[in-house]
Amino acid sequence: MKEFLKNDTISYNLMSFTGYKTLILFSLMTEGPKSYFDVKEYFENQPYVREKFSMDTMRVYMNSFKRAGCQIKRKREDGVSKYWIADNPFKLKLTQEQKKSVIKIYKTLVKNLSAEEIIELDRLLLKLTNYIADEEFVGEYQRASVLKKENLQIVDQLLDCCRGHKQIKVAYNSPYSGVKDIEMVTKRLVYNNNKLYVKASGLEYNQDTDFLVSRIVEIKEVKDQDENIESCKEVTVVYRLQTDGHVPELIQSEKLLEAGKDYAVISITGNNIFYINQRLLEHGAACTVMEPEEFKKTFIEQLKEMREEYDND
Amino acid sequence: MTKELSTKYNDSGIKMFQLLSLLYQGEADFKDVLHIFMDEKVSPNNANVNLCKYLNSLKVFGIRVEKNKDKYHAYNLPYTYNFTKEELESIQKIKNCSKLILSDKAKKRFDKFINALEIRYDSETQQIATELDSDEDLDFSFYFKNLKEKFDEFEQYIEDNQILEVTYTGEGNEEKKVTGKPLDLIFEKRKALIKIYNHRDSKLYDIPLENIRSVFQSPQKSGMPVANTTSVVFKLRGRLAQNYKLRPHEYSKGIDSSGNLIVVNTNEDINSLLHRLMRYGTNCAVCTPVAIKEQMKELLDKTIANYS
Repeated sequence: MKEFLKNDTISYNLMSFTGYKTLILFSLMTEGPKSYFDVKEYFENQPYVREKFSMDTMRVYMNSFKRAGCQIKRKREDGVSKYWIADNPFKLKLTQEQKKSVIKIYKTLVKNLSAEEIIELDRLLLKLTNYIADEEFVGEYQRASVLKKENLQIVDQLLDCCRGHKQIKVAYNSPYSGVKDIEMVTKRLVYNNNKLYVKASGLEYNQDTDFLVSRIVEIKEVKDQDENIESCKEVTVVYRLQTDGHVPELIQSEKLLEAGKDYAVISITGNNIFYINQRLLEHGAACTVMEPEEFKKTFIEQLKEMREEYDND
Repeated sequence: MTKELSTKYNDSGIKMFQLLSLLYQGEADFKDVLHIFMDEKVSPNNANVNLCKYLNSLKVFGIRVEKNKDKYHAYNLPYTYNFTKEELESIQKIKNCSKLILSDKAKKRFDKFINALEIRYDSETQQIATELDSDEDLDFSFYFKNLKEKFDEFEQYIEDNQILEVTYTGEGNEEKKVTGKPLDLIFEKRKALIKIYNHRDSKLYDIPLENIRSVFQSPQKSGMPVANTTSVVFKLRGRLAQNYKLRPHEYSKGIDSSGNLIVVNTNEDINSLLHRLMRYGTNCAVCTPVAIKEQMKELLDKTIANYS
């Protein structure tokens, strides 16, 4: 036996020849549909087998596969029957608890990853549903998937466009004006509030906007960024944030200017005042706008207006 | 008349499948493997010889089987899956996340699934996986590494199902206390939070673990179910009313006579909710209950006071 293993020479007395042929046929039939003639030819030319293979023998092997838990399917192609193994006992299986864990992990990760990472993660789970072939798991994945309402082809195209900061024209289903063409210079995909957006400079208003991907009906044109496009006018707002000793979590358009024991001075730059305003409002009493003066004035007026809403109670 | 097909099968084929089934589990016990080749007609010695023959068949086919301390491990099994580098990176993230959010028991069971998945990698995938192993960028546990002990501690509290009294620092380093039933550990935007339900005010509290100063575990078990958390009703105006996407824990009560969208929120930490509503600026106002309206007023007053 040791001799056999060292020399790699084949001695049929020292191996299960039927077991070996079982492996070959299993492998062939999981690859895809094979006719009896395909199998016969393969066995006749296989260096370690080189023997004739009858239809009856093939049937005996297929009966063994079925007994072992394989599902064999047959189709007719040009008058010839072809067989393949559609299911086998070695497919990955998940217990109830493992299914729950996969979904729990998925839901946690989508709250912590970037949009690109979320898309990759979702793809993986979709692939696993094919490998695992468990209807319950497929249902759980479909309920949890953050991309369930997205057109995956459009998501793929947008990902490509964002990587090259391409200028695109899309048919966008606006809630106000219906389907209309919008031109934009793509920046990146973002996942926020359970929705996927493409962050882009909209050419109509010349400012950064988050466009809902699910509202993009079609990408009509993709081209390199037109150099003549006037760049969007940017605003920088500086604010002080009460941090209570924690490290402030900055977004991409923010810079840390100063960090004290329990505060930070941060600048936020963008061409869409609306987003800057939202970001600062969300911090509540922890945030104090420092400059520019004009923005600060509008911000305070807005706060007062919000407060007046409750004065009549 | 339909031709009756043979139902003959070969025993060796079945044995090969039994052997592969054990190897696909990742770790096949020698006794279990040997058992396949034993019956009343076969002596233990012959069973050993037969086992070696089958192992040789696997080897000739290209499957590598290693034996270590009475356990068999197989590589290059015949039915495999192919994953790209990006997919393997996602698997790595899943593995890292499982270390953080699953209890020890659930983690052990989950590891079996990951192991079963990795056994099924084809050779190309195995090669990429080996190269990825040293890629530290994929480990986002970095964000939580200082909190691992706290995760375990709170996992245990949740399992114990006993009332907790948690002292933590809120905004402006103000010390706060909440007493209630610990429900879940949440990981959001790279922050770890414990969700606590307070029966007295029917509110849910999401407290960042890093803000927790002390915890007292009462001997009292929390038998009460979590129900009827405080419902907050707010209205949205303008474009936001048309565009707003309801959260899973929200429902709409329709449009009022002024065209405002009325939303009922039932299951969100009040502090997080109020900060979210702040984002909507003048397009949003809390309607009920009075206590939450007061909280919103207080939040606005404090924010305005920053400029006085």
